[in-house]
Amino acid sequence: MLRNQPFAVKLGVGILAVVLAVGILAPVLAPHDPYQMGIPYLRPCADHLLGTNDVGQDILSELIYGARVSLIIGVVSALVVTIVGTAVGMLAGYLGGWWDRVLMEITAVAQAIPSLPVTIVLVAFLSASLWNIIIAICITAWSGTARIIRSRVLQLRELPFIKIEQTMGASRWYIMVRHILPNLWDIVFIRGVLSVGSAMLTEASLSFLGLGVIGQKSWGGILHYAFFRNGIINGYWWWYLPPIFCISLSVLGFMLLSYGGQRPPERRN
Amino acid sequence: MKKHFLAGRIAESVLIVFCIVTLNFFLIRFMPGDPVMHIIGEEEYYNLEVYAPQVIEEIRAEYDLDKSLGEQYLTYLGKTARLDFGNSYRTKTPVLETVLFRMQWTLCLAIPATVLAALLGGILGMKAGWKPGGRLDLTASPIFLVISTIPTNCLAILFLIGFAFKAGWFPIAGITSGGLSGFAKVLDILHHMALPMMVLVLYKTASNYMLMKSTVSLLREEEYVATAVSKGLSQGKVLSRHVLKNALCPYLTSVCMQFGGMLAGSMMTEIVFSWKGMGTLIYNSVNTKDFPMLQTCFLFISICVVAFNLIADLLYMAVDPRVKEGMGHAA
Amino acid sequence: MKQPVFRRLTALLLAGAMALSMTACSTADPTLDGSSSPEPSSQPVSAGEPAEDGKVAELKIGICKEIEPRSMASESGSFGRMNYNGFCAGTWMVRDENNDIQPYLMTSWEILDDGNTIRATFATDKGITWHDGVPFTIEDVIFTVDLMNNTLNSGYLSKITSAEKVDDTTVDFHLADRASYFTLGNSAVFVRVYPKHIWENLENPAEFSGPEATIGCGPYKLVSVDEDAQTLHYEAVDNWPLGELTVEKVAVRTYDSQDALVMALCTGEVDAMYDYSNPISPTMLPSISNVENLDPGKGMNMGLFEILFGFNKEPTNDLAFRKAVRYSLNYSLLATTIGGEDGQIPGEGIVSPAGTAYDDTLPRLVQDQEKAKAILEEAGYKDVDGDGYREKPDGSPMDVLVTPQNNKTKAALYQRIAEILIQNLDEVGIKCTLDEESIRNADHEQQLRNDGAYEIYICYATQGVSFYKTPFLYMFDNDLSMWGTCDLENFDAAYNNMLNAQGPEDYAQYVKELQKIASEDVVGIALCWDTAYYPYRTDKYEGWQNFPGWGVINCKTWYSLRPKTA
Repeated sequence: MLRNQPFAVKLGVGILAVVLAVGILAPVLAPHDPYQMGIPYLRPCADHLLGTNDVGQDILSELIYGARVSLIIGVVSALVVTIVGTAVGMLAGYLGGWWDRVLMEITAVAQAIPSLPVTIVLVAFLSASLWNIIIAICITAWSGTARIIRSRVLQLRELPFIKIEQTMGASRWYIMVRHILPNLWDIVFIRGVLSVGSAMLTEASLSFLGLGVIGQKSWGGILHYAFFRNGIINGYWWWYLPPIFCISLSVLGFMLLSYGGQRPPERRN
Repeated sequence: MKKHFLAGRIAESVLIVFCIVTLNFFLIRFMPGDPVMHIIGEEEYYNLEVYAPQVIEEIRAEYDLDKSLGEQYLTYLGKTARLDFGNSYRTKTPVLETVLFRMQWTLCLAIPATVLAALLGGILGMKAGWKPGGRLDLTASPIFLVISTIPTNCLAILFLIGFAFKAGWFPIAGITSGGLSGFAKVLDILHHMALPMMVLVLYKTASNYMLMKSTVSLLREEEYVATAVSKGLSQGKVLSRHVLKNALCPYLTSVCMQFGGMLAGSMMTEIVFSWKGMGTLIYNSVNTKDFPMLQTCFLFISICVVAFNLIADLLYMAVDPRVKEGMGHAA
Repeated sequence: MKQPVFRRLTALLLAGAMALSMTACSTADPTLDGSSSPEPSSQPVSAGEPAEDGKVAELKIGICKEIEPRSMASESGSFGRMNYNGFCAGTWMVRDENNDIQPYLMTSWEILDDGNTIRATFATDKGITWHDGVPFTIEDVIFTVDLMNNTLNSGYLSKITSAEKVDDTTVDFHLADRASYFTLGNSAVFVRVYPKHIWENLENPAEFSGPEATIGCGPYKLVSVDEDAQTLHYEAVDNWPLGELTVEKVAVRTYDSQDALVMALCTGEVDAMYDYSNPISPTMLPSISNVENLDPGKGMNMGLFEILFGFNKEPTNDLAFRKAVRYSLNYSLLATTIGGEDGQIPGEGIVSPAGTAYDDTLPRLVQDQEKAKAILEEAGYKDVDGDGYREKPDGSPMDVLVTPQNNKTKAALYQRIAEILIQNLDEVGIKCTLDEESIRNADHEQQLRNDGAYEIYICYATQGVSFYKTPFLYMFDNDLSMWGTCDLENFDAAYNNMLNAQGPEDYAQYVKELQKIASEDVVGIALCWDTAYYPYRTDKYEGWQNFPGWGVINCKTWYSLRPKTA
């Protein structure tokens, strides 16, 4: 199946496979316990390939473990966003009428709320557990998906085979689940994969501002300490560049993967 | 038909703003703790609790917090309608004054950035989309793709370190150096603006470019364009006559939405470059739990988004009369 | 047909956007400048260009305190902090490079009546005026005491019970508890004079924020506040009688973070930094050590990070527990994390070698986790239920709360220190929890402190406090400090004696006693003795004097700085 995909998608799958493997195999791959404190501010050396941070923890091991938190937050948020967005879009689009009005009004409100500021406010005032961060990321992010799904459903609703099903007396829920949903798959996939990327970027911003889960290793968190503990101003590139690289690479992986959802351009004879 | 649609959209926008005002109201009421605490600030609250508990009750009465939720809500609506957003409890001054002051600086940064990025992204995207696989496409596309994968704050920091700190080409922080006036001040502001604006322009251009490119490359496949080309019309004419007008419509809508998001959109950039705009204001208000300030910021940001969504719809309607009510949301 | 519509629309949209952007920029005029502009904002001065008579035309100082034009009078903003340098407001006394008190507006004083009276003379006969032209008189001094004690509730002069005019330059301050020596030491640098004609008829002086709030009688007057630029602009007053001012104008610019400030120093945006009690983090040293024309401004630091124990709480009220904590911590790690390359492992007496009456006979701290475990075992802190963590002697579970001070600029460092403590204590079987609520919520942290409800509290003893009140202030359980919980009688007595000391020898003796008590009773633990860096540029000016722990911006800068003669 992968064989028919363009090179970009293969590359994306490759990147993600590596990142995922690193996350899963973290205990095996990491040369040190990322929480073990040693000599601070070491430059890269044989024992610490990327040096140590301000409390002497091995930066490479932090990065390897950081893949876990960053990926979990990204993937879980994206799942929630996509499920909620798809459900809202489908209900609004297919059921129409009051369903549509009310749901779309809520979506419009969610879109008008500034997402990053609201996320920051929520994380700052709820206690910053992993789940609260995910909730805060999701709270407005679903609206874009909902809108796109709805407009696709509006098109699908008019197609002959749906009309036929309707006249044959199939229930609305049956049609939605059996006929509408499968036809949304490509959009749902693209939106879902892209939301992983944007959730990871949001997490990076939150952690950078010091609003991440305290004491948990994430890429944004490493960057936070690199910035606020003078790694950047001192030019310790081995401290601040790798987390930026990891975030970008993973987001790139998901973006490339999203090309896989696009239908190949229809060929004209 | 058009008038009807217009009225409907305006009514809807008002309703959305109303919903946001309502959410703002509940933001304070449902945060843990006594709402008075969120109105006057915790420090003041604890102080009064010890020295003058009756003042707390006076404030409670002033905001009708001793009344039912419904009555409180009405009072709140009344105050909001009169643009009375209360005082910041950090500076004790009217919130509106500060928010307007900060807003002008965010706009000063965001408007030129959005305009510039709209032009750049549009032109580059169109050229790349018209010749997929061409030189421009092959160089620009990967660059913009990579830019859009870097968190904003990271790119901003790299720019700050590289161009301002190491190279010394730009000032480190702030809006202006102080002690200047007139033309010298304008130049100085432009100098300070350059780096943060560059960051904003890059990100916005990247997304504009990708949108324009994919629109144009899809249009290129369309039958009538192929026909036009085969009829021997010059490339430039086809581009301007057929492709441009069809591609511009979704593009303008998207740019319009970017204008809507500009008040909150530059938050991370503002923080890194210490730009005293809405973004840093929100961030500082979160740190100091300045609820009245946050409420007012959110309200203004939302109004901006809603207003530009409305404008986007109107644009869409003006350009494409086929628009129907069902297509109302031009997302 | 559609195309022209389109073009028009595009053009309109762009034109509109540009117009908007223009207005946005142009409305940002200095009209909001605010609080005090007796004169419109001054002409641009080309930086560093020597003025005619060898004076500094404009000195640019970077600071990390906020400029808030609407609450300028506050001591914690940049305007208030600059006043500690004998600057705008008019300070009673200043401190020199040896931390010795020197006269300023208060020109002389003697302690009479067995320490119950200070007879002081003020420079009210030298032709000094307030910046609005009204003469400075002895009435202003008397008014200041009343205002600070009865309306502003400021603690500096709280021991003064009354002020009595002797003649036009002399006043007698009557004090309680023979606190003359203490009051002088406690108020030097900090206490300013308030203009009676402005402050006397205010309804609520504590919240006074009008432009007149910045009027002082010091050598420099505030001429404008530029909120856009976050700068304060000062000018030297004419004919200052207390010495020749060599700096004509001063611009104080606020930076959001020390990183930005240090970068600005490196690129030459500012000439020097001033941040009361906040030297740049020593871990930032590599960024400035090889910059041309930048002196790191190294100096001893009296300020230090320390931990306090909650004496109202179990188990931190138990000496054995505190001793075990002291043996558990990895001091060399703490020293590097806090103090960078030149961080030192502190001694048991807490007071740093830079501090007055430092006792060098007390041992340095050592990490000995086996000993810590033995002490805990002996005192009954045993792991009864086998979960790997010790329980209290009565068998109830033990979970010690570690609260770092809520500090926006050093939040990351405080969290790192907390992380180290928690891990070290974990290693000897003490379970600790990080107080995340206090990290996120400054008010919660303050409340915890006010209630004395913390268990292990990480804080910073500032340079200013360490000058006289010593780092022990933070443990002292009295209204002088809002933090302390230590209820040990010998500590309390020694601290009170120190406050009531009648002279330098007396004072030194009690500071030594306090260090001994700290060593024996572990009232707190110093975490690192570090070095203070206040970097400054050397390319334009000469005559800088680096006050240890204070920096080159100090009470002498205005009289000694000169353009470099090359």
